[in-house]
Amino acid sequence: MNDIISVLVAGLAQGVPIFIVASGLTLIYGVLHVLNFAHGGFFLIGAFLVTSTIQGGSLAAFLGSVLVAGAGVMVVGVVSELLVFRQLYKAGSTVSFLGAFALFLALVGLAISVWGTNPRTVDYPDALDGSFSLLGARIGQYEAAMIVMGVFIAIGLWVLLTKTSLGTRVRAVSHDRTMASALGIRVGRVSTTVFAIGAFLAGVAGALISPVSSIDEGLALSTDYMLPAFIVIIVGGLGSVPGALVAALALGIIESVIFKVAPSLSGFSYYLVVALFLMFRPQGIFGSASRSIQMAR
Amino acid sequence: MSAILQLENVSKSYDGVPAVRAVDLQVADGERLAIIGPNGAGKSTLFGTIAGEHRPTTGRVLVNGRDVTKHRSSTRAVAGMSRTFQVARLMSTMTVRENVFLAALTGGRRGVRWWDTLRSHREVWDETDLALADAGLLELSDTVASSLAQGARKTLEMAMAVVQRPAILLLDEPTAGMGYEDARAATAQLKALLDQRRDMTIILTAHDMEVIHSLAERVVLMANGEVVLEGTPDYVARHETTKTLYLGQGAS
Repeated sequence: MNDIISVLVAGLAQGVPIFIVASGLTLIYGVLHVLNFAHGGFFLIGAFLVTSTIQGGSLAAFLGSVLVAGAGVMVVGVVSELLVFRQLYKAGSTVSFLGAFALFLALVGLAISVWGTNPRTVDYPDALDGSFSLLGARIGQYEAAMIVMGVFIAIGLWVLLTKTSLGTRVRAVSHDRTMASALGIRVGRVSTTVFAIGAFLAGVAGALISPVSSIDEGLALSTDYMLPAFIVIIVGGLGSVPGALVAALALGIIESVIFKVAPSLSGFSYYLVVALFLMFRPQGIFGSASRSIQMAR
Repeated sequence: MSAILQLENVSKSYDGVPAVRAVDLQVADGERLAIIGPNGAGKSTLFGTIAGEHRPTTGRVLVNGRDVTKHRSSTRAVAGMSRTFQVARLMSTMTVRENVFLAALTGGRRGVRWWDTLRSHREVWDETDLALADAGLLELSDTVASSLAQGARKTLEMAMAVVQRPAILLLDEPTAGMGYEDARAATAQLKALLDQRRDMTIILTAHDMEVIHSLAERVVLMANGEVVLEGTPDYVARHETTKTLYLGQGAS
């Protein structure tokens, strides 16, 4: 029993940062219809920013530095949207992919020039540097906190997109930019806002994984976070935020189970699952023929 | 009456091919104007230029004397210009009521902050329900827009445009895609709806002379991107130029 709980919690804790990254990625795709390959760069800068602002210390200071990292990356995201992505929206998918990839390389280069190539680490915040017992299983406090953060972010996104004035505009722009504009919605402003939210989430995810991962430029395309995030948005359905949540948590748990029973196959599950989805359900769990964002109502 | 909309020497070319050539047009406040012409006459391009979807290659567009040539469609919508499309554009995953609410919430409404919850705007929901009642859509309120029939789609789009209380309402082929009976019923309903809002200036494009007779006070006939005739619906319908241009298209 305690093994099952440990594996589940480890899986959820692994899935949460992937969900946070993937939610931003899928949101940007759903509204702007570009696959933001530069997202890994945002994630990387978020992680590096935390290493510059804090080492251990109080929980409040750590949360503060997570928010600073999110805000910093949001600024980078807004600048990227205004300078690069605005030029890419009307280009074909190949051009926009290459443009986003070029930005990715530029962001990784920027991170290396600022923080160097030596791996960096961040200590756990004091209050979360331990473990507790849950039905006989030892659970890391930081793992549990990460799951709680994931819940908050999922609920926050759901409220933002389905219950607020901004969310209604975002859904309208996602659905039909021409009509949204004819209704008086400032499509450019909504696009920048969505990009800012996506970048913020990538920065927060990078910051949150900083105590559990060594931070160097390899993180930008890491097999632990970024590649799974791309897989998650395919499996969840491109543009579907709930899909990203379900897929990230399910894949996190599957990966955790495989790590327990067959460690040599660890990392393989993501590729197997995405291959099966591409063969039998290419639109993903919650995907539809439409490319607009999907929110459960 | 003063001109609410003026087009000054408006031309629009695509890759050097002219679609609209040097059009001058004045529309008086509260007037109901139809732009007609055979396929390829340039009326859709002119319509899109008025709505702000594309910028004219030369010339100016003025609303209430103010140059709006460089304003996007969203800016024009906020300033009081609403439109419908030839093929109705709706938020297909939203219900009928949510579609009208979205239109009522956007447009030129002031005081809506991005973090406001949808529930907090009780007055917008009230306006939405009134607009649904006016358009005869109350029974379909909770129907998802994607499952509406063609006629209901057009009616919904119209309700969305009208609920924004625009000063200028642009109707692009309001009965396009409808059969004869449906088009007649839709025209009568539209006329009743618009007659409640005599303050609105209406500019429409149409093929169907019955629609034009019923909704327009003045008609502009376009051919090859130019205005070739202007007058009352009767005058334009009986004119030789119209008959020649529409030969075989049943416009007389």
